[in-house]
Amino acid sequence: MQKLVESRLAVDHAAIAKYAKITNDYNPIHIDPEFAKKTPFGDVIAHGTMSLSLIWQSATRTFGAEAVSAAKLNVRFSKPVRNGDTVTAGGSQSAEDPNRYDVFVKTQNDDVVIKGWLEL
Amino acid sequence: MLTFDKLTPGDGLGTNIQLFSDEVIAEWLDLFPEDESLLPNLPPSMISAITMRAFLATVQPRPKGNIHGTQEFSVHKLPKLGDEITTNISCKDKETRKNNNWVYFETHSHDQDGVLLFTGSMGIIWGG
Repeated sequence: MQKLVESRLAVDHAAIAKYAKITNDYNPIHIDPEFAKKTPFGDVIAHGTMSLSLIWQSATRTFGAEAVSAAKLNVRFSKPVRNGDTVTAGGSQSAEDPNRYDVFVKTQNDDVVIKGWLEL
Repeated sequence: MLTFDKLTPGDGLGTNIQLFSDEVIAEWLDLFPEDESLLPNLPPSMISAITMRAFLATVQPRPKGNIHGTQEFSVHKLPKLGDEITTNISCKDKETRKNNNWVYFETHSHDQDGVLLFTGSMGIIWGG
């Protein structure tokens, strides 16, 4: 059963700020520690799609950009990624469908933050 | 304010145009340097960022407290540096589930020649 080459990112304030600039998403929950302290998260959280980018990277490293240029991806964001986390994306071939891969992003504590499938 | 009540399934919400430029890719490579090897094509990892930038620029003003819950993408073609990416955004559906107001948005992105690049569907727990 084929596994995807993993892709990793250390999430810190600098990475979050760079992604905020790229997407123009300056929601204070991502960039303002004082604001985030008052939310149920207690601290800033990273943009979910920044971690999602790692699944695309993992797929591209495994199959090449040409294969990924006709891919379908379906994911659910299940937990927030916090400042200081290191997130890793990967996946493995589905037992039921050889064209489908179960994909994930997880933290250094093995908390799954994104889960779903990729179809090539 | 685009509240849950004001969003209507089937309604177009607008269009966003982004140039896949040297400046854009420079910012991306500052965060994900390994993607440089994929140029001049758009690194697939940028698809979600391009889509989110289009969504945030178009669907506003939004209530505070929105939570991105689900995301689907279908890729058809990757644009190249210098291409213009036009994204049309519409409200696909909405529902109240487990006391949360979910809104589903569709995105269709194409290049300057009208060639479809990628489509998306995002489910968001709407904050207001």
